[in-house]
Amino acid sequence: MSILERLYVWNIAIGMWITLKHIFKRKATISYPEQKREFSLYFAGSRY
Amino acid sequence: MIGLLAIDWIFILEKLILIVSIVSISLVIAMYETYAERKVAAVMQDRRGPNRAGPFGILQPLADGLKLFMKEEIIPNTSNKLLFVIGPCMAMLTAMMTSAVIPWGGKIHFTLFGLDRWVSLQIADINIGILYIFGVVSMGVYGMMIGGWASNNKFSLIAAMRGASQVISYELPMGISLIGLLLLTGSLKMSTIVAGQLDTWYYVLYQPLGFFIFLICAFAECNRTPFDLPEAENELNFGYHQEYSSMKLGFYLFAEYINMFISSAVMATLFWGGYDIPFIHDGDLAKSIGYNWLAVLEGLSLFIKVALFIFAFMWVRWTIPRFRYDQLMNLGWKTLIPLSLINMIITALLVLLKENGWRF
Repeated sequence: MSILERLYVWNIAIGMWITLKHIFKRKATISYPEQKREFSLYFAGSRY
Repeated sequence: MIGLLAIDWIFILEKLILIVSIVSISLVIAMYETYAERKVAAVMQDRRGPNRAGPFGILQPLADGLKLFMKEEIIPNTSNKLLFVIGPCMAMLTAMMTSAVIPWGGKIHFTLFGLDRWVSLQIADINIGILYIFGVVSMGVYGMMIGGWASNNKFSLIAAMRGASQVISYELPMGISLIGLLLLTGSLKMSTIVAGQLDTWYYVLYQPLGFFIFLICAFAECNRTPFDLPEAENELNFGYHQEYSSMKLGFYLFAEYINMFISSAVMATLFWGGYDIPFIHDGDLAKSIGYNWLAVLEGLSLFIKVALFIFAFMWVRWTIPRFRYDQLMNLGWKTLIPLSLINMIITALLVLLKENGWRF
């Protein structure tokens, strides 16, 4: 590992940048009672 | 018996109001820190946080508090009953005692009721401010140890041992890195330290390594990831607060959040200028808008700095994995103590040179 990688502080900083970018991405949650997901015709689970 | 009129009642009233307001503000901030933690964790993990309990989930901490009150109070039969109840109280006590010496704002000019007093927004401006903070932080180990021992549970005891060894081994680099800061300020009094940073360069620019070491040690003192092995859920069965239910567990968790808030306030005061508004000369502002509004703005600027630090605490938590116990101890003893000693020696040399006029 290079000297910059060995310090681990640089890697932590890169990780923190990635986490920060995730704040501004689109969220994967759907608000259940208002929005529901569509299922295919052959779906074998309960379609609540 | 001295007469009742000989006591300075107004002084006592002023300190009482300050204490009550600072304690209640810390409690409310710790409550909303739990909400902020869940929201920040959620947005960093591509999901939304709690948003059902009131608009945007604002009433979620109230719901959590109510849930904790309603749970059953369990005290294990074979535990040490007195110590079992005292443990969380010690943790909460030492968490709140530190807030007494932090300067929360400038001075307020109180002119109602015919009085003419200058009230400084600091409960106790003692001469040994920083040393008091250290003493109280060292006492914080007791809450953890008593909780682990009184549970009469081997896992809790191991977790408490780990927690205590972690806390005491990270107090040393914290103290030594502060010695470097004290060489610059020349005084242990908190108000002098803030006064030395008003409208000039903050001490973080003079002591960047000292600030960095202090930050890492603050993470370790608050038992915060990556140093949260004592309360690890999947490693040690939830750690030293395993046997606690209801409000006693609530106290432990709350004490951790209050510790986070107070550590952020201490870091902001020592290294980032405390209640100084950056880039603006405070004296000029006092003449244009009056001293009371200036005190409000200064308190607000301190809270913004504290909020940024709390966000940094949470940001690091969701980025890096936990340290193993031997990695943690290695970092504390074999890396941070030599670094902080080197920092202290270099700072001492530079201060000596500066006083000698940069000649030797």
